[in-house]
Amino acid sequence: MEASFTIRDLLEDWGAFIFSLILGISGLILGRLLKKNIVSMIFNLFALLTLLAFSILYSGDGKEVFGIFEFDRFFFNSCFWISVFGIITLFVSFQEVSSKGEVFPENFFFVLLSSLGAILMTGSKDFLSLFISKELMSFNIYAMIYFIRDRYGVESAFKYFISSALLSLFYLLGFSFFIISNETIFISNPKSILGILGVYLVLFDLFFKSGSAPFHFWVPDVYQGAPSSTVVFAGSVVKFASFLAIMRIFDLTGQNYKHLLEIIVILSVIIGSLGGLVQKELKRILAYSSIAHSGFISLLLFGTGSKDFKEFLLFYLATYGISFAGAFSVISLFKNTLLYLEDIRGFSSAHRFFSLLLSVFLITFTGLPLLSGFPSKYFAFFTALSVKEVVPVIISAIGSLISLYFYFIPLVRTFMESAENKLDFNINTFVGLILMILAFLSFVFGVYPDLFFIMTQKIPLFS
Amino acid sequence: MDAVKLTLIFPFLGAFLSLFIRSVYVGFLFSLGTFIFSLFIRAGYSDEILISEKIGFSISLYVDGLNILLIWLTTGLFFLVFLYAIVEKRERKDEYTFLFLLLESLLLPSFLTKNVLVFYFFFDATLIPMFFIIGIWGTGRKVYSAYKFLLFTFFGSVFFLVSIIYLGIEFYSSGGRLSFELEDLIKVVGQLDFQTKTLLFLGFFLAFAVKIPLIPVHVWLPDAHTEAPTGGSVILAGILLKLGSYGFLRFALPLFPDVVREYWYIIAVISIAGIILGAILALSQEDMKRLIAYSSVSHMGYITLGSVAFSGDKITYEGLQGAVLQMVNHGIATGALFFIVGMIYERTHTRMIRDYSGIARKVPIFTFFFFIFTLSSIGFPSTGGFIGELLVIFSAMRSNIIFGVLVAGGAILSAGYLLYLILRVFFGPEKSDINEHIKDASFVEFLTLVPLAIFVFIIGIFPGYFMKIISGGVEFVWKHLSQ
Repeated sequence: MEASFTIRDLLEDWGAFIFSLILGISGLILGRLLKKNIVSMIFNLFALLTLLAFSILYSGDGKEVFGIFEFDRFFFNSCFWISVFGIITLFVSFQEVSSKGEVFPENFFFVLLSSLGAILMTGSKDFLSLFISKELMSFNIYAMIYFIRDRYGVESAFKYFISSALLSLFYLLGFSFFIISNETIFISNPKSILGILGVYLVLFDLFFKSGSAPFHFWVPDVYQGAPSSTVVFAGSVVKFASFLAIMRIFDLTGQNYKHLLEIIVILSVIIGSLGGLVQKELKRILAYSSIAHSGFISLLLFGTGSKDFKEFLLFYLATYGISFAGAFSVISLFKNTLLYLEDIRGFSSAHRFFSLLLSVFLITFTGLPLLSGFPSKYFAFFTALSVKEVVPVIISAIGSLISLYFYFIPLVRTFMESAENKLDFNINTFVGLILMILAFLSFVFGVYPDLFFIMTQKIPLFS
Repeated sequence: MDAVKLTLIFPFLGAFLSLFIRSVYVGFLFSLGTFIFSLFIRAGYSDEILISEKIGFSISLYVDGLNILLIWLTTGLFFLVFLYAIVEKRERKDEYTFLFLLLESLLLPSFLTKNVLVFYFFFDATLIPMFFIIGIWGTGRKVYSAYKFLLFTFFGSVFFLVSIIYLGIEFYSSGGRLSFELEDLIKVVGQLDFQTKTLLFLGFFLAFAVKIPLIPVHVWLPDAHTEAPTGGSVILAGILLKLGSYGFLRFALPLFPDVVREYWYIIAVISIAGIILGAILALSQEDMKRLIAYSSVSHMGYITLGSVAFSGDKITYEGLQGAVLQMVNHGIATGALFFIVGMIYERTHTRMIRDYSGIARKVPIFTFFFFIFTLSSIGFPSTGGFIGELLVIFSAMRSNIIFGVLVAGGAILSAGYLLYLILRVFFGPEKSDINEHIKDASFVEFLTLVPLAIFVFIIGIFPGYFMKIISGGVEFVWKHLSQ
């Protein structure tokens, strides 16, 4: 495919990205020179807002850019949600960096770069640009994890780096297999068994990034050790981008991945829900819940090719991201590095507002009605049952029953026990405000999921 | 805005307001308003509010004889709970108000809807407020009991959801439109083979069996009822259990008539086992609340037995009537018994039967009311319980004489344990240590109990009026089962 383009095309399609990068870099330089977090934070905030505006205002739905990126409706929707999660991360990490008394303006730039990588990942049509954007997303996360230089931070950064690098090798191997088989880098139906093997190896890496079992081993340690603001980002955006990339590969290769999905769903749900049962630390509990949710999300992938499944997938990823970002934002306000369940005793009597918000997010994870967890779970079951995948659905149902237990333990500690010693808790107005909006969204999407689908149709606005 | 919609919206509005105005009077006023609105609801109402096309979620409101009495019972009992909450000694009354109003706003739509998915939605959503009510204000092993309640109920309902979605997909693939309306699903079920139907029915049945509760999944009930605060026990016994038996009548029976016709005797045997085992367990309890909780297990057995009693291959009409009426009777009588025990507990801080003796002289009003509700529970003539139990025993006799004999025996046992309870607690030699603290009912407490007592007798003396209301709804079930 010949790529011919002019400067005008470049500016039209990439203007927003270039502008946001310029904003981000100037914020980084100014922030470093002035030794002020806030400068970098504001510049990068505007950079992400640019991307948000781009996703809404860009006119050119379904356009192919350079032949390697496809700017379709799902790309713009992902762009929208990834920018939203990026903005949340900015506020949370600003709070976290400032409360530690550090000057670390680079962190905000990493958030921007990583968001850019994630956005491009969801639009990639070939394995090469997918690889590059995936690495752009991951590299910044290694650095973001490491900004708290304590034992846990080092451990989790190292673990994430080593295992990511290993799985990236899988990706490259699969990629080269695919090139040999199809003689193209574009994601398409593999022509030989070698090509199929190649696609599977690529998928392994993407499932690893999304935190699904059996590639889940890094999740608990990284979520526990990394700064909470980084986890807000890693749990919402990385999962979002990798599942959308998986969706695109499923769509473009047209293979049947039933057995792979069955293994991933069953293992993720079982490991996630049983592993969470024995945890004593809140971040680890949420890490296991994240694994279990990867299993639920994979249920949706059974519906590849059906009419609504892409929208359902977006719904699940966005609402899960909302509650995940919310829960970890609350956690980021605690001063403790590790948040044992005993530590949050009597949280509600001391900080009623934040404890209410935490309970909203945790109940969203359970999939009980009233909050957005229920429609998500419903869509997952619905999609899988439509193609008669009864066994994974039954196992997921049992898994959601088991995980109900550990989602409610923090609530028991919060609401039903009284504090022994004082809680170390930062109250931050901005984060509180954002959390309130997120909790409200959880509720609204829970009782009126159509609102989300209307939004999906409306992005981008002019198409 | 008609009465039904106002009834639905009002408690929700109150719950929202109670987040900002932290007073129990918000709960009182809003539950009173809901009660008044609900009195204007008439059977025969039906309306549809489409919430979400994408998930087939439309709150199709429908009022008939099956649910109208339960709606009045719900709004009435919630009003009384709030009336009592004004004088009750309780911490964090503002959160109490919020959770109870939320619970009411979730219970009403589940009784009013004819859409199976919407029913499930609210059926499951009630778990959240109830978990917190038991866990925060409970006594003793409150967290354990709250968990038991939560996990058992969710265990049943998660398969219920899978069954519902399966049916919805079947309809979707045949009709091209997503719907969970009862009428639509009934058409679909007819086309399935018997084995699939049985499996789907099991999903439905498990959810309702846990909620009702039937033996052997009743084990959550004694703990939850015992450790819940007074208002929680009243609502649990009075209304939440009815969600199970109502759902069974409204959804499971019309959807799977031939499965029920094939296996009704199994359900009947389980119910009778529940009646007798519940009564025997109640006899051996030392805790008053636990005793009444086991009596619930026993009495709910009558309702399921009445719902499934077949004679030949036709379901008995009087069994269905008795089941619906018994739901209301049980809600009133057991709710009231929990009220009284809770009121006494607040004075003495003990529920152990052995700590009490001869308190009738000190608390004549409580004794009087306790006696009335006991009479209704054991089915004494001129109380509501008599009519309901009689109808169920009739239907049991008609379907199988052995069932009839066993159920009648269970009725005698229930007279045994409840009257024995009265004998031990209210009569006998006076104990000085208890009798010193205990005071008789205050004016508000008296006001809480009076309306319930009046209704016990109204249903008992003028059953014709209630039977007329009920029969409209019973027709609905009967029509589907006697084809």
